[in-house]
Amino acid sequence: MMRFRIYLLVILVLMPAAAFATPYDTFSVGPRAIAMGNAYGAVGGDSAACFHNIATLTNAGAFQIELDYHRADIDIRFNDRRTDIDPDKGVRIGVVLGKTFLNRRFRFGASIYTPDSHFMRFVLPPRTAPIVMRYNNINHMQASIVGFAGQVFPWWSIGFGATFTSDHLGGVDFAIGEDTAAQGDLKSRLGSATTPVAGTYFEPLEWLSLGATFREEHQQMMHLPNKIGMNDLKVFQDNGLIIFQDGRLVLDVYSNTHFSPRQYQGAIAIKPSDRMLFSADLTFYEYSNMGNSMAYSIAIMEGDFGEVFPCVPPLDVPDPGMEDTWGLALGTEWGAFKTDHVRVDLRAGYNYRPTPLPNQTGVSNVIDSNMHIMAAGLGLTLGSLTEVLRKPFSLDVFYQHHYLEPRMVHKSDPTNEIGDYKFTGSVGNLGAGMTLRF
Amino acid sequence: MKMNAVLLGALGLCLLFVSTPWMISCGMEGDIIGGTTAWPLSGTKWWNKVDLDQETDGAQPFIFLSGEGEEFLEPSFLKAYGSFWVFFERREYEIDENGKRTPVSSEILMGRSSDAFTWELFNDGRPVLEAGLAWEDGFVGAPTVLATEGGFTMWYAGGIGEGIGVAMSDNATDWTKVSSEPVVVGDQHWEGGHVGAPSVVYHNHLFRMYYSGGLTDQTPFAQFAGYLIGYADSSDGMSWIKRDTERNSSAAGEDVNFIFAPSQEWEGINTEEGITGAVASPGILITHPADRDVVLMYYSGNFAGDPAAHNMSVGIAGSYDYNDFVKGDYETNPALNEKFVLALDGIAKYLAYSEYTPSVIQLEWNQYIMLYAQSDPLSELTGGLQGIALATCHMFD
Repeated sequence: MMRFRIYLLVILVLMPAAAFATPYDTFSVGPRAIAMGNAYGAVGGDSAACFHNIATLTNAGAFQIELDYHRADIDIRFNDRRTDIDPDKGVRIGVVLGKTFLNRRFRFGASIYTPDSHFMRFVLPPRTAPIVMRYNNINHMQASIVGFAGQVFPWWSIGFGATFTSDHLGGVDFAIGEDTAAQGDLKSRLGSATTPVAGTYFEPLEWLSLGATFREEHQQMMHLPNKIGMNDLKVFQDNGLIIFQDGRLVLDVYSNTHFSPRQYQGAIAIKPSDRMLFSADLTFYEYSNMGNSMAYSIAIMEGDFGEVFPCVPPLDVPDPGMEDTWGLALGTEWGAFKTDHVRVDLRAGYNYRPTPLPNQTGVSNVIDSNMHIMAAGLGLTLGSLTEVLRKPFSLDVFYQHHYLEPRMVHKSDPTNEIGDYKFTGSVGNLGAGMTLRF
Repeated sequence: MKMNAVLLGALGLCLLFVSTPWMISCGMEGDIIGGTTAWPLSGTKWWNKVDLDQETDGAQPFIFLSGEGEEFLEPSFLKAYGSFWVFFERREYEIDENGKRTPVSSEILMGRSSDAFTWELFNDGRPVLEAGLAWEDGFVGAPTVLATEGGFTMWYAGGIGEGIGVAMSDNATDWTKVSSEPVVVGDQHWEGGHVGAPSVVYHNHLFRMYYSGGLTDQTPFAQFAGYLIGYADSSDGMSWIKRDTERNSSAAGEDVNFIFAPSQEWEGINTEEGITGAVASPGILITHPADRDVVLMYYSGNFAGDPAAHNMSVGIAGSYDYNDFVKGDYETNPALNEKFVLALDGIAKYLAYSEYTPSVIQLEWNQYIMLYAQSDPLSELTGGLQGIALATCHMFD
């Protein structure tokens, strides 16, 4: 029997990657920051600064611990039918530690988000499957940002840090046969993906703050090397007539499953009075760097596999054509009630994120649309509660609503397996947190 | 002291979480993927035969099996009046001592179902429509049936490519031919006097007919059903105007061309050897997934080559304007193309099933059902089954 080997490079029936690498990108981080519409790059003062502008860690106390929880219910609809995308829920732990030297504040900060169900999740549905890039899969990701900040001068701080997300490597190697039990093993290894963040922060005037943030592109690759061997397959045991001669399938699957663009952010905060704060962030998202993130595989087919299941030429992989975008965030905080021991703050904000995604007229169905995020929240700060908590203790709640503009998707090919559809979506994200200061 | 304990505990907790990316091991319990339930599905891909007899080896998708010397084919599948209906052709053959089959007659049978999966042959298997008119020459078949005004209207092929006739019924069992002559004949150049296998839909106040035609000496199937596909429309279902993609119209006395021809390898085209291949027996489904109509054409492609002489498959094409169709690419076509794997040294790696003459309805927004004719490739192993079979299109079980 002639044995042959066919090398095949195909873009298998796997999907384009989703866009956001961490839940911070989608829902932001910190009850106060979220309630202020994510306009937090020139505010800071807690561990949420690790994401928004790490230099503003210097506004935090010398030691504080934050614990918050959120749940986002995601209502995504195709042709007015709701999908069953999982709610995104999880706990975030934040910590800030620091010291003051030479009249300069230095702070270490960490913000760690852990989803309820798992530390990470890779989704590899069919290549053409509709995937909502901000909500499918991506947010189910353990993500941490840690870093340091310090004051160069009392009016100028700088900070550096890194984003960590979990990553996975591994695959299966097994053999199957008619007469023997399947044998093999699964190799799985957990790794991490790391990218830098940096920021700077100025207080030129008592009532004016300025910030600038850089977040490096963050991308994760899943690699699954799978090897499946199969012995002769007989149609009838008695006559031994073989319908499949022994063969082997080596399937290396690669997928850039998570992507977050490089971001440059400028921020301003104005504090006209002790009770009033206005802030605004302008962020440039460098989505054009996002290459084609479709998952692909290299398959080596040996034996009868290749002849019975003939190879096909590589699938056309369209350029996603992502475009750079600007996002605008506006926020405010009003000290509605204030005494020596109690302070109540009301917060509100708005964040506009235009979609980087062109119309999906081809085979891929990465889905997104212009997003309007509206948020509100309340903060209660109590001073000197106990012997242990002599410094202010805060409780914060927020509600964040994502509204995705309806978008009609028209396919250029009438035989497209997904076809035309209308996409609509909204997300309700509710959360609460507390801050302990020591 | 108490304060120190609290601080240490809090610090320990923080360090634990900071280190989780490196500490945790895989195997955390995860949930299902989610997000798949409302995925749109156009009905062009993910077709699978349904195994309706799981006690027999191999997929057995048959709802009706033909007997010796006969063939069931050309189903017309519709949902109307709370039931599922299928009208199909029973073609009878004479088989000579060399095994050559010659069609001698055909008639139309009908089946009914309440769920589209379990079927009953109606009228005790007797035909609901038989040949009787002179032009039918003993053959009526390839029905296409619509539910119209409290009853049913059927367009059917008569003779061997002689034309397309019309019959009507109030109850789906008693049919009256409403014209003694065919309402469509092969009068265009490309048809060569040969038309048949119509599929009629009523949409936007217009009857639209897709039919196959063209005279060829290729495979037996193509000799009967033609090898090209044309289009006609009508306001009353009786008087038809043929049109093509160049906007030629038979009403204007223009020579109207076909709208659909073989072009893909699996359709049997071989330009080097001058073989045209065949596309025939269209089944039309109009969907409206979002804000515009999509016309889907399911059709038979006739690949007459190794390893089986009789190898047809079902292909899919689509259009946004009713007569300018785009074929599915190699990922989509052929949509049904089962192979019976068999390693015979130096002879073959597989034998092919034949799947042909499809008719499709949309059961749900994400589920489509196809009835089609299927013949098995190797009678010694499979029993040589032939009949009307069932396949479904849905993304996930």
